[in-house]
Amino acid sequence: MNNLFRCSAFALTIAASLMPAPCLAADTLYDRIGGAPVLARVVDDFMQFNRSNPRTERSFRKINKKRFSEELNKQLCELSNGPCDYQGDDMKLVHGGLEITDAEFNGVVENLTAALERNGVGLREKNELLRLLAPMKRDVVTK
Amino acid sequence: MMWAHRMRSVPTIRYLALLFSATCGQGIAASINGVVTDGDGSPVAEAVLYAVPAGRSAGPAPRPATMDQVDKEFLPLVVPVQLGSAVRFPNKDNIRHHVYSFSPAKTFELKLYAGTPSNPVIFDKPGPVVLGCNIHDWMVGFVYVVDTPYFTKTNSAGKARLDGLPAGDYSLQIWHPHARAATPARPLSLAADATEATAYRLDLSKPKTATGNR
Repeated sequence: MNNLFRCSAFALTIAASLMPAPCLAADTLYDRIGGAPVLARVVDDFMQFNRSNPRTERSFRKINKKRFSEELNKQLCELSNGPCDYQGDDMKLVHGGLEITDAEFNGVVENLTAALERNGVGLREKNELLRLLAPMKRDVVTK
Repeated sequence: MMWAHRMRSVPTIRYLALLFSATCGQGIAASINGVVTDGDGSPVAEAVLYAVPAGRSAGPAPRPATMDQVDKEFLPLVVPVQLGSAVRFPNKDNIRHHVYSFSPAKTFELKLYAGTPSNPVIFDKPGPVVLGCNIHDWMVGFVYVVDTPYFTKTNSAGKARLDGLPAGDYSLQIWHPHARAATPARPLSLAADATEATAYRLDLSKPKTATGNR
């Protein structure tokens, strides 16, 4: 619906300027997920799940929640081809010394999956995003 | 407890004289014993006591100091240093920290990563430097830069002792990060061999408990 709205708004703008143009389908993963509002809700839920899940809470207990959420929003936005520029450290530097285990990593993946599902992100989009994130495992898991 | 000033930085001749005088039951250097309490009379730790000599004396060179990060806190809370000192941030946590300061006395940022030692930071202006960490926003620490080699800070009993001060005139000063107001400097004339006692009562604000993000 969001896409439809943007598309029509775009078409109207174009029509107003009397330029012939096709109605371009918004097809980045970012747009298909629902853009910034949906990603923000996903990140909020993801954080909450991470902190309440005994398997993952250790790494989310003592952190700057606000900064973490802001950086994660930017990172997911950029990763899904949205209009963002993540300038934070790479995942290896971020997770250095945290001794994240396989089980913890998998727990976090489950939390993210649940957050995506809870916010109505489609199966295809969910899988695409998880596929983009999966290679980070080798930089995150060090134990 | 850190005794920032030590005998070994006294020039050699003076050191020999000290050895000699010690055997004769005399010293040539003066000492100051400070006691710091708060409004309730309970001891105040981490208060910086320092004596600034009147007129410039060569004095000992600045010594390096250390501000560590342990369990996502700065340790210790306060690191007093002489002007020009290099402070290392060794990061015992061995996870990422992002230390910063916006203080006029020293503005800097220092990204600390697991297993990567960082360069020390030189503190070249006197005054308080408030340290924070971007990643762990409750972390707060203080480097207090003084323009004198004669400084120390109080222990958990609220006591601090300055040793090895040459006889002469000093301005005795105290600083604590939670003090509500600055305490006026106290002029002090030290005779050779004297031990002066001084007491402070500080009005401290309660530090913010940083539990919001844990």
